[in-house]
Amino acid sequence: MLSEFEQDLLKELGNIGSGHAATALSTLLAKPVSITVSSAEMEPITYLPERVGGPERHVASVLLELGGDINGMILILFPVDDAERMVASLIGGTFSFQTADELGQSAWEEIGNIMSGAYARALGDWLDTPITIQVPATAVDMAGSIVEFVVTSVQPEEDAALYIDTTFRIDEKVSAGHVLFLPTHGSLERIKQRLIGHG
Amino acid sequence: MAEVLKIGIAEWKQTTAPNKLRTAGLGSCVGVILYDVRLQVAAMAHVMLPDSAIARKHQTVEVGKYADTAIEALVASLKRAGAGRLQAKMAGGAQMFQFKYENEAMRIGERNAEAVRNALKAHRIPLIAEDCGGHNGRTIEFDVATCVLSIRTVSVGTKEI
Repeated sequence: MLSEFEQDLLKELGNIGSGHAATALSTLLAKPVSITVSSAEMEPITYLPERVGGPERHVASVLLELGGDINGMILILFPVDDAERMVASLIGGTFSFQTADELGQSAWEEIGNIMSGAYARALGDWLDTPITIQVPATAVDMAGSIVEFVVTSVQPEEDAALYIDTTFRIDEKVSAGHVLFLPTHGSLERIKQRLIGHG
Repeated sequence: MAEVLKIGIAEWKQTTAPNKLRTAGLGSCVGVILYDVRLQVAAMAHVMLPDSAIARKHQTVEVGKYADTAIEALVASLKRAGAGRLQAKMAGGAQMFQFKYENEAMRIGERNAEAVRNALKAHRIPLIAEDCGGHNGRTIEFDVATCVLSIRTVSVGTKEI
């Protein structure tokens, strides 16, 4: 588990990442966007499905793999309705994942791309280390299925993940988003060391 | 009154008819059920990883978490309850994301399903039906009285095996 000091550092990281993500999203959507971090914690993986709205909650997600100095993944989850609204405001008109047309689908990928990229860049700047990223993957399904897939792919030997709770305000509408940062075991240790070094 | 017992990630539970066993939001994990038709007793595990050898040395092994230890625990517990001829059904082991460059770790769902099949073979338990793989999450519910496993996905709806 994290100490209070480490928890504060994690929350600060969440804030910086959210600031970058809000700016990028605001530019893309041409609308005012703010993202605030309500909590940042280390959560046991068995609790994660509950934390993101319950295992069966229908969510839209973006998964970004990190490489270079820090290995792991960043997962961003939104309630499906909110994600659809974001896509609709980007392409104009309406959008549903069920009838996902190509334009809407690539718009959603672009939203995911810039948001997850913003968090990754914030992490790299903050740690002063180069982080390489791949093209993110997206999935729309049950929250529990998505979270457990990510947890088991990244860090099967770990029992906890870094979890950042956020609130998105887009166009005055409020949406609860969840950002999970899952470093591999070695990378988590490296992050802690560097943080303590920077003090 | 029939009860629905909920099984979380890495957990396992056993019950008798008319109760049901349920686990929600299976992704790469596998839900496996062992049951005795005659005795109307069943146990379900929500298996997360293929092999308990992956657990770090100082860790206490959660038996429901790994395919090998979960099947062992289910068999032992059902035998204690007097079960004779065991049969199995399973579902899950999906690949939730599709990547351009996949590594071995991302095929975890496939490996989980294979590990459960192997563990069943080792215990000589016939696998009566399965619904594994694909790219969809699943919620499953096993009715101990009828031995029917219903499987719900977001995109396809509900089916029974």
